[in-house]
Amino acid sequence: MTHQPRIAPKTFANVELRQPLGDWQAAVVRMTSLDPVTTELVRMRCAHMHDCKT
Amino acid sequence: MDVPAVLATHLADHRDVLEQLDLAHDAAWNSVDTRLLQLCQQRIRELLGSADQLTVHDWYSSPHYTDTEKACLAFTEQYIVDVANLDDTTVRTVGTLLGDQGLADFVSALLVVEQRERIALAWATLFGESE
Repeated sequence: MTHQPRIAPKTFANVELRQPLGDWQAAVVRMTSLDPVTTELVRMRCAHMHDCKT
Repeated sequence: MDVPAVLATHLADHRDVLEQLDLAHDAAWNSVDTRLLQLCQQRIRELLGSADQLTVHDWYSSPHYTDTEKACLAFTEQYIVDVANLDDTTVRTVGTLLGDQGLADFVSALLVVEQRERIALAWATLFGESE
């Protein structure tokens, strides 16, 4: 499912929240316990669920 | 369930991840009205089955919540059950009441709270609350 944007362009969560949220996700991605293929499958599944274009 | 304790236990070998998760948690609570986020956190716990008691489940018909709180609780319920199918009306209502910036902050804060709750619940269920 793909939605039209529902927030005005260039509107993001405030940087005090966006920065640690991004840092946390980066820290998770740097973990090595899970193999790369499974990691990518999980990432793609999450991206689909969140209607994410990345 | 003691969410911080579960996270600390199971991330003991991944201190950097735990530290970033805690920083994101602090930022979430600093970015959104505390009572509003507490209500949504409680509703998340009720929907996930990890709440000690039901206190917000009747929000729809209760006179004790503001229009903004009810809009955000409706958003939270859809977000938890099926985030990919949040309907436009529910999102638009929150955006009207909080503004675009408030909506962006609320969604990000809700994400942090929801993920902590889900992760802790999954780990507690699979591995126990302590090692």
